Amino acid sequence: MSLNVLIVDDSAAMRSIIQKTLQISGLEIGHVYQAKNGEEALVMLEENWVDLALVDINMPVMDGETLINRVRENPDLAELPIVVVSTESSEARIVQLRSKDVEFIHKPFAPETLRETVFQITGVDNGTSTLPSSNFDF
Amino acid sequence: MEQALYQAAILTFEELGFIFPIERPSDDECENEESTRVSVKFNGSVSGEIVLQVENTILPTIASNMLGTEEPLEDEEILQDVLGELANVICGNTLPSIAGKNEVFRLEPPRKINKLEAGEKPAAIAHLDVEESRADVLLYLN
Repeated sequence: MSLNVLIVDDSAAMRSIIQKTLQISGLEIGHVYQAKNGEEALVMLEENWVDLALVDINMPVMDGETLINRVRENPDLAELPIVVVSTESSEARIVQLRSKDVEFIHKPFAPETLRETVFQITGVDNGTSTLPSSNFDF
Repeated sequence: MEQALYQAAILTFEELGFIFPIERPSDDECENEESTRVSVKFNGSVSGEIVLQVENTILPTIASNMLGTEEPLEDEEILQDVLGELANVICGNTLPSIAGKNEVFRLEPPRKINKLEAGEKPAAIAHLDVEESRADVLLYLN
């Protein structure tokens, strides 16, 4: 099964890094959608089937926490697996975010951390992937 | 505080930029015409900003590393975005070390600045050598 993924981050560079990390993760990745804020993300979620969302917190227009709240309140989207990818370091904030049934990855992240977290939250692991630990090799 | 800045900067360059900076002997001269600069302001129990400046000789290579391209990237918008993300991550990783792990901060979006504010003295500076080019991270507190 290939996963359709939505990446939500106001930095195009970070969206690209996450997408490329996913593509070399060993996961079967289907379509990758990108949104630069929560508002764009909600539109994409309403119009497309998405299996996994990777969401930054600090974004203009609509931040990641508001997006997560809106998703969890929507019966059609409430079960969507979400991974927060953020610079947020406050332990209290991270606990608060995790209470919304999301996983958390702290920036900067090693590629294998992203891969393992995605495997964990989606339950998909083909067990054959290997990632370079210190560099991309696109 | 300075050590926290160095640690956050080195970790960020290594894990995000796939480049390995080393500490440069400190000097008072941070202004460099051939650099690109961004600022990230933060508000919380302490407020201020972090300025990241990277020499233009190395920035395209860092951008290429981050985005996984074969050739160094020259597009100014991409370089700004890359530098802004680096500054954002350095800021997010420095603040817990100076204010505590439970403090919550609001980070503003990175913005380009053309030069360092004359007369303003940073609370801490991390001077880095990045493959024979210079990068500096300056922490200002209000």
